[in-house]
Amino acid sequence: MFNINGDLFSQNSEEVKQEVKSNPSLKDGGVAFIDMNSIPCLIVVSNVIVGTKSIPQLQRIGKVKADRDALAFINGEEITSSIKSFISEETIVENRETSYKSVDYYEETILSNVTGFINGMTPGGYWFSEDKSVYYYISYKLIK
Amino acid sequence: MKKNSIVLIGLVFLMKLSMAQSPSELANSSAVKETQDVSADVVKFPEDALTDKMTTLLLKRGKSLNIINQDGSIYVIASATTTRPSNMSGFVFSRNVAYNIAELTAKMNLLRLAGEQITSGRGFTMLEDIIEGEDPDVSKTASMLQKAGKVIDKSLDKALSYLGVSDKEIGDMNEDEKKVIFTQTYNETVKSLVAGMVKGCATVWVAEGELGGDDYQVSICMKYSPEFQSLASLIKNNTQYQVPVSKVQNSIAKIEGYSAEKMVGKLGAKVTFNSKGEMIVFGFGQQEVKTTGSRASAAYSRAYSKARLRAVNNIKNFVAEDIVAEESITDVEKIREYSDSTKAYYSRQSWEQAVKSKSSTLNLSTFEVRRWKSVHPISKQNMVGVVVAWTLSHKQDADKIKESMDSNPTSPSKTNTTRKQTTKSTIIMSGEEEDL
Repeated sequence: MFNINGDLFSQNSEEVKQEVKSNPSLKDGGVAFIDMNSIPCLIVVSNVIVGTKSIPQLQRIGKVKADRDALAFINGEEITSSIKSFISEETIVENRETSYKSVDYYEETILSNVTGFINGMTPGGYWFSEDKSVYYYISYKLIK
Repeated sequence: MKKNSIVLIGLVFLMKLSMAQSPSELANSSAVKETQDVSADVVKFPEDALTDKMTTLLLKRGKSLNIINQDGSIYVIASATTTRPSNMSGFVFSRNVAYNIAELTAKMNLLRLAGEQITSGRGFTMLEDIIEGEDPDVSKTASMLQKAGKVIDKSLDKALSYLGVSDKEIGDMNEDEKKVIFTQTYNETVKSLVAGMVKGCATVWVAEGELGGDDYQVSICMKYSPEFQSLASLIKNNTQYQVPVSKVQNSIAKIEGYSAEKMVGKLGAKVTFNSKGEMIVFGFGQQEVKTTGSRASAAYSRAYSKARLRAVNNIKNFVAEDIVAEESITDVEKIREYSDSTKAYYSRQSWEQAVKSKSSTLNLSTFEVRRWKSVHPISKQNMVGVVVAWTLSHKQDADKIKESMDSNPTSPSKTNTTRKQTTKSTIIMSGEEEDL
């Protein structure tokens, strides 16, 4: 079904794209390791909010995000996080008057960092969401 | 006649008395019925339901809550209440926060099992001072300065009154300090400090619910075990530790098969076994979706990204979390009795709890298991969730892909020969006769 010696998506690209779009791990963006005709293939789908961006801008950002997702899948991502939680309660009674004060404070920070070098990722097409607000970009690499 | 009327009145009185005291009438009277209809108004919180359930389940396995069981496992329960009511926007976010606070509290309780530092102090004073009559040695002639002070004082009162200050306020300012005849003061402070690194602590059960009156509680049961800690060390240090293999469970297929409504109750990190019998850590993340009618896909896309990050962070928190927790309570009570028979009472109770999970970094290689979207069953707000997982086999596969992508062509092998001394060669000469 696919030309395994050339571009995976160059022939029957619509069919392949439909297959990617119907894959639950990839249809909203993601990374999956799939066997295509007994050839293992790393397929990455990134998503970009369209806003006012042009097609070249979307392609550029989509490619960078896809590379980032692929790196996170292969190299892992560095997660840095911290939490602060503070709760206090004070009740004061003065003769017949009672006052009550309560404070709840919560702060959480999560940072994800991906570093590394990736090569050989091939563009595999793109599509838009139904309301045209999200752009999905496919890139892939055959793993020998 | 008079005698007959007295007898008649007496008879009527006796009849009424007997009717009033009839037990059946008493039983049916509204006053009695009211007391019979009163029932104990005890509200069962999700925490109570979870405690009952976990106690029953653990008892079957010969285990208990809040102690170190024979196999080294510890189960603790903690709860938190959302700050946003379930019928207001922002509820799902508040629910996430409540879950995190409950998890921190559970880990704090876990650390306390190992020991906590308690600092406390308390004390009271009591004084009774009853005076009768006047001390003859106290009275003396007022000095000139005291007289001048009184003139100024009266002038200031007139100025305040002219400026609009009420007579009551002026009277309060001029009120002499009352003579105290009895005073009692009590104060007490208790502080608890606990700190440590919690590794290998996962969520095993979640109970949550709306109690009415804008009260929504999230209660969780967390488990620590030596096996979980070993797995956490494996994830953190990337060692070649042999992960314990147990019975095969199709945990990934199970999660993929759950309905989206059932996924709403999945929070935090969970450890189980996959179809290969190896340990798998799942991270569950959820996020509220705020749609404005247009560009809904973009809102969902952003929400999925946030949910995924929360899910990965939950696995990180399972691996290791450096926690410092302080709790303190202060009680003060004062009572004063004055010579004019008036009393003054003051009390203050304050409680503080501060828990901090210190910033730390961990490299994690996870894969996405599932995405889902649903509405919260109680608040009916749109929400999405992402489930990610870590397994040793995925880590190893990712490392192989990395090696494959990083591999370079082999460089020509260098021959390792010993250099020999040079030998004589012919003499090379160059030049042109024309240049001479």
